[in-house]
Amino acid sequence: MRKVILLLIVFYCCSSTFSQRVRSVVNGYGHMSYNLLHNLKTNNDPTKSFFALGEHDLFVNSYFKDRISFLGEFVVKYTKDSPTTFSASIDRARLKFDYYKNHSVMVGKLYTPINYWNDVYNHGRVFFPSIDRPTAFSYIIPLHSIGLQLQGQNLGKLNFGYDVMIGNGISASDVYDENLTPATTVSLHIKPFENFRIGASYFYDYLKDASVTGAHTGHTIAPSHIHGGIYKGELNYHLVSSSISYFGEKYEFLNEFSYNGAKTDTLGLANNFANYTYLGYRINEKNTPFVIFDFFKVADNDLYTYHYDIMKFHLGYRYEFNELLNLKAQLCYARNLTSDHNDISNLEFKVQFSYGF
Amino acid sequence: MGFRILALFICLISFSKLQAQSFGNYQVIGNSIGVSSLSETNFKAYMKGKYTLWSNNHQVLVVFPSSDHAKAEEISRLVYNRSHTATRKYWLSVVFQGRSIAPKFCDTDQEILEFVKSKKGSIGIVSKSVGVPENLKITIN
Repeated sequence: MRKVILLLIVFYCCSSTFSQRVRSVVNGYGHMSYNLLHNLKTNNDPTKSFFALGEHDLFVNSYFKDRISFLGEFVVKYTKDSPTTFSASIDRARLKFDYYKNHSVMVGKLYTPINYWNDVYNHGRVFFPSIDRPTAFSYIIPLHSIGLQLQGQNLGKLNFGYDVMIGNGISASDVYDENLTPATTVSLHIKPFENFRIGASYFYDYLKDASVTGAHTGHTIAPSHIHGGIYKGELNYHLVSSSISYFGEKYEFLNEFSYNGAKTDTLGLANNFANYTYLGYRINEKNTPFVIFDFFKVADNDLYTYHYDIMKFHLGYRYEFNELLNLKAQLCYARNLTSDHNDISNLEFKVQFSYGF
Repeated sequence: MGFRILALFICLISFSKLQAQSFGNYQVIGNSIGVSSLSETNFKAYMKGKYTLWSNNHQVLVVFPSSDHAKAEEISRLVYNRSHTATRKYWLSVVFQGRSIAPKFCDTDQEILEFVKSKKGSIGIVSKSVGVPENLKITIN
């Protein structure tokens, strides 16, 4: 009993000390859109028109005391099979300790430090230069990871940065991983001058059962293009990515390239590629027209993402009311590049409000 | 040719002095940041959240004018070389990425001063007319 009382006193002292020092900033982000879709491959009801409520997330950044901070991101989004048609998820929850100069160690659930897009934007639609993510992010990019991450940033004259992460693999849930082998990510970048960043990363994971889809793959789980049985054997998953970005006062440029090697004993190594290029021109602080070319190719012998080839061309316009509200309009032509998925050859027109609050 | 180079050199010196003078309308204040002077380049780098810790291991905490501050636009141009809206967007993005802790935005110089007084590791900028205790003054070289 004494021990319990003592523990309570200690807990009270600690919590009151912390509560005096905690400094929290809370923000919210969300988006809503109008979509007009026209399927060029069918004459039967080819056009759809609808409004859509996008995901909304609550972002918390707390600073406990010198060198220790917490970051959380809690997302609510439409989920067809949920009783309320919405589901909530913890997309980020991490503790960070700045142990020496610009070097830190983090633990928790984080965005996997792959590519510029995943590292910088992810759920923050108000920061997106366009409406949609690159296509690869719905398929081959492991968006989140739970584990331990070492980070360094703005080191030396070139503003060198590194991220090394070891954590649960892409088939893991948020609380459990069947595999003993952890997923590993190494990411390096430099920012040699203002607004410019170039980087590369490597991700590896071993999947004991490739049919198990976890919480950390792309946002489109079990893509609809998979026909036939799902492969349940072992798989080695390699992902090499590079990013070049420049977001200056006048010009904006982003290129994301990914090579994904998915190796199985059954069909060998499948070579998959994705390339996304965004080019924008800032007329002034508020108005930015842009173009996007998005290409994604998954090999015939892939047994994880499965054969899928698509090319998208976007023409868009972004109007920024201020840093917390913007309006984007985008015309997109999407076409599959193989004959076996002739359901995809679309013209899309989208308008989206994205905001922070 | 020699005269042209000399003229260009004089122009460059004059321009850099002009830059220094315009910065001179403001004073930089900091609380327990481990140094009493900073180069202008370093000051701007700290204000952009490029560094996490001071040499004395206090967390860098940036204090900046909010949109209600009378000199917000001018100070944004001076420190970040961008508009105040672009500065706020920059900070939202940096904090969202988890690469820096959120800065404190204050409506007045007095509020900036009071905040800096109360938080070790904080750094801010106020008008030169504001009375600042000696121990908070940071010289910019």
